[in-house]
Amino acid sequence: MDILLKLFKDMIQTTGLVHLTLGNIFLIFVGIFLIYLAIVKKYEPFLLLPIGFGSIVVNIPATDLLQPEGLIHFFYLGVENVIYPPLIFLGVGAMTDFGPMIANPSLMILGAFAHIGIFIALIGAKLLGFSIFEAGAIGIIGGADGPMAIYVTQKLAPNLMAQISVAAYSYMALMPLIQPPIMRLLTTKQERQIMMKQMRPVSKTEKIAFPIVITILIDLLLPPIAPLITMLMLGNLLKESGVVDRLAKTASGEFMNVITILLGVSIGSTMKADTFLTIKTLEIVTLGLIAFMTGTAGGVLGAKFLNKLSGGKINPLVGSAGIASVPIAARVSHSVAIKENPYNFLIMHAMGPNLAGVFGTAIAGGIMLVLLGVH
Amino acid sequence: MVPDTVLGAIYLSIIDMVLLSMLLLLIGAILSKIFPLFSKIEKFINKK
Repeated sequence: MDILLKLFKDMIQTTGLVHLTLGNIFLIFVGIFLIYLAIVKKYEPFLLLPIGFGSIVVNIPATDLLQPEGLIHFFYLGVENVIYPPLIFLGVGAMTDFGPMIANPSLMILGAFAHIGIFIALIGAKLLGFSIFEAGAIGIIGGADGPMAIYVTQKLAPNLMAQISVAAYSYMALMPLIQPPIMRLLTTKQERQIMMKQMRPVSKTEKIAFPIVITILIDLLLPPIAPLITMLMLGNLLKESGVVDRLAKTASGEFMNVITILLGVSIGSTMKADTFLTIKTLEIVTLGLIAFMTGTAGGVLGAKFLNKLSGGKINPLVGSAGIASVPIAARVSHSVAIKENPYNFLIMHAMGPNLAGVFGTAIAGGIMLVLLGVH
Repeated sequence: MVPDTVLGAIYLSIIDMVLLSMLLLLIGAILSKIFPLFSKIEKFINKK
């Protein structure tokens, strides 16, 4: 009988049950909540579902998944060595039509206005006692660009990767909840009903020239972000050239899907109870929310300013799309506009600032890396 | 090098914002002034 009891005790010791902490249980429920948001509420399921699942799995003790020889540890090498962000950008480039940005370049500056949140969060983080490197990485959450947030964080403050990546991706998914109240608060009904003039057509030559010109320009001026811009523009060239459809389809399809799964699980796996449940996490999550809110406000106010300059031709709702996060932010602008006027299809107009926002986040991050002496 | 102080963070933010705006305006200027020429060249070649 004693031998049986001892065997049973030994068996129990090898399970995760005895090592399970309250923190683990809490983060398992957070993971389930993220999966609920993905499946029931349809909030960015491609991101939240693997992140939620990663959070559950990593909080089951004794699985060794994160140990040096563990499966998720190998997945995480793609984050640690900043391989996933440029590969995601390759796919984004291959599925994005930059035509709305080329057709209406006067709205590009909205990509700067909507990034005011980055700098407010940066200063806020410094006031809370984070180092200047950590503050820079926290600020980038306000760019609403997950791959860029991972890229900058790995360079500036890899110790905060869990908090920053989870905050960035979660807020991106929650943009349809965060942005509309701010957009409505800062605009009048009349402004929200402005119908913008149809954009000029963009020729095939312009679309092919775009990735080549931008790669040369940005890689020359900001080498630290060359991996991201190069891959984004390569993906776009594959798409626009029209001669390598197979490659463009692969980059924007299955290849992108594989990287999304690996990246999602890797990010979720950073939500380990012992490192994630700290006051720092709470501070970073709050600063991230402030960055998103002030960025949205900055974009809308910037668009209001441009609207005044143009004599009432620009709908201020397109400003919030300058926060990047393609195409979520543009969809939010469109959905708010269509509630005011069912015939106002703002999506293509909002895509211009939205795409400018992608460059805005990359450029802001690149300048930060240069100024902080990190390459 | 930016000092690791609140003043340093403010300095970093202002310089970054100014340079970001300048670069986006530069890209915007290239897109509005040079890119329409590509369309004209394309039309010219197609006519020939």
